[in-house]
Amino acid sequence: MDMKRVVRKAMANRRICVRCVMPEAPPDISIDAQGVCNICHNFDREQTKAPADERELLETDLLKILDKYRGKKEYDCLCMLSGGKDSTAALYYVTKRYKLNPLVFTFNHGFVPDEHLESARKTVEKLGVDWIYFQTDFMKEMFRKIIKTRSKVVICPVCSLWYMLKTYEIAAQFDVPIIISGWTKGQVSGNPRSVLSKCACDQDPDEFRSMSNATREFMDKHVRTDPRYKDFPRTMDEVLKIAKKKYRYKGIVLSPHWFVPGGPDEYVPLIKEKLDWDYPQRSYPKKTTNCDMNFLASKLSMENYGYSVYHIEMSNLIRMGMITRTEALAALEMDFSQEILDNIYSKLDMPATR
Amino acid sequence: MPTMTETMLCSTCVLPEVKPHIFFDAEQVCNICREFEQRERVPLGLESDFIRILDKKRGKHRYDCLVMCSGGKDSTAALYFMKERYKCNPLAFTFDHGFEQSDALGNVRRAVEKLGVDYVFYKTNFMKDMFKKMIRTRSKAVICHPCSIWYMDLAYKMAKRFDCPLIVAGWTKGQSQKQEVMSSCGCNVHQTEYKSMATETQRFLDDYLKDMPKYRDFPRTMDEMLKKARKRHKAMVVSPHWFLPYGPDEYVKIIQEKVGWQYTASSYPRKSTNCALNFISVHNAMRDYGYTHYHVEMSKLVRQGVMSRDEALKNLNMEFEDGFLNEILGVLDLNTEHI
Repeated sequence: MDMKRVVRKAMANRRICVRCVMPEAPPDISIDAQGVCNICHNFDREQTKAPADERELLETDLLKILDKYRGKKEYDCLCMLSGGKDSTAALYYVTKRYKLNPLVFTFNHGFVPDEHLESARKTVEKLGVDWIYFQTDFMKEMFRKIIKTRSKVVICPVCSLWYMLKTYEIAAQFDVPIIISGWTKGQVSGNPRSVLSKCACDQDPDEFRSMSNATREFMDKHVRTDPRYKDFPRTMDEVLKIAKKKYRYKGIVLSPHWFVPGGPDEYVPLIKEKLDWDYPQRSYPKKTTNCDMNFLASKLSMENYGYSVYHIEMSNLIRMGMITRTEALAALEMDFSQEILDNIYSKLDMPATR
Repeated sequence: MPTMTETMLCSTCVLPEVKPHIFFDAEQVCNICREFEQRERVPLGLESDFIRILDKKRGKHRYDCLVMCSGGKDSTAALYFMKERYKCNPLAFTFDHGFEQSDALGNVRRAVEKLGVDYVFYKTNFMKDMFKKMIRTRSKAVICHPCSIWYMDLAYKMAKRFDCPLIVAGWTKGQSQKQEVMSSCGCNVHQTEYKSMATETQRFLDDYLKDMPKYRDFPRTMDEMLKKARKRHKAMVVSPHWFLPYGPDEYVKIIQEKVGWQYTASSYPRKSTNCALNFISVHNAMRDYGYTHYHVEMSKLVRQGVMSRDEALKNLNMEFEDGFLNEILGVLDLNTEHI
């Protein structure tokens, strides 16, 4: 099926918020008479509630945190690197701006395009930093399950449970006191201060509610019952618990992007110049560096909900004034080929036609 | 590169006469070969011995074994056998000190993908300053020697981190003999052919590392490293090649067919897959000793009848262009004037 038809079908009878890019998706997302969604209204309410100084994280806050960890161990921090602009810039800042000695970590569940890995390799080489790369087929059966059961669970949040646990494990194994990610302000729903302690997205807000429910249901029905995945965490809270109790990991996860003023407009030219970085040919949304599985994840999410996690992220960025609505709409356009999806199915030993 | 003509070598192996440790008799046969003739044959390990070792460890840990993979034929075959012949759950491990060649790494990538095994790749700049120091001071220590102490230490650390009870290397029968290696791992540096080299390594480590704070904890010998490593983590080091009835001719065919393995474009000796810095290491070993540890290894294989003397000579006689060596040395901001 061609992707334009997928989108047309998914978007039939859905209005799109005039401020962000969220579509109408009852019961979670509703759009009022003025064409504005409830998520935008939630955002406005938060804005008026919190005094400015509590909302903003400053670069001096970041420095205070980093100084606590500097020079105490073989490595100061574990930098998660996908090869994308955000994680590459995060690594660049940490190494060059804050002068830390990082261990870089890249994982691959079998669906990371070579092009992204090559970008990571090049960055590591240019910066002369140490690198650990981990590849496994562990998640393949999980991906197969999600597709086979036609569950509405969104692949990426499940995968993020796996890779965050893996990241904590690596950090513990290499005795690295703090984890640095490249998460943008848009990937954080709610207050970054609370994310500092909880890691990754807060999955409670309205826009994630149905997705989170589907995740829980899928976990209970199909994952806990499989001996292969008996220890698989069901929520990010469980990930944190395992990291603390089993791996005895005491560190936190943070992203310099939450503290550094200026967004991609500033750091993309910087890494292009300093690291010869460039956008990959193949990724969804445009100008990102997400894995191949993400194409399928976004397509299924579109069919099931009318939006993907990237609609949520970009809507956040629009509200914060970091990108325009037009930019977001262009980036989110689904015009990738069926061939990419076929390739994923073939890697999973599954028939291509759905 | 300084080389030896064939007539200057032992007539039965490929070692030159280098007194006081290696000397020829009237028939131009070296003392190492003579000793080998007299020594009682060490019986080869049996595959059933190996399987017994594996069965003791199987299924009790996160992974059954850590397989050290350089992308060469021996380690790729080791990984293949561990997964397919012995049905273990291995973690493939590659380290890169900055001189691994991309076609070798490509071999590893293809193999882990085909075999569907977990893979960890660790790249570090840790050793570069030491390499630089060894070359700049024109130390007679053989570069590969401290490096092997470092990477075996690293293998033990990785085995501990990833909960692997066994470390599997791709060492051939020529690189080591079963009994001595199970306890000492890697080459036995105490054997006569390595004596001068080992002494120089010791001297280098003693003289220079104390001034370099980052190497404060660097072990002075393989024995010291093993003692410390085993205190932290109990793991046995084994190679399936000590027990398998196959030689390289057979397993090269297998891995070419099953995991798309390919010979790498440039490596010393011919038909091997060693890192780029190895060219510098052998260049300097020829300069300082007139032979390399590959001459020692291949001489062993010749004595054991695994390789013909002619083939050994063919593989060992290579010329390196200055431009090529400069490219490698450039990584350390050095050039051929430093060697």
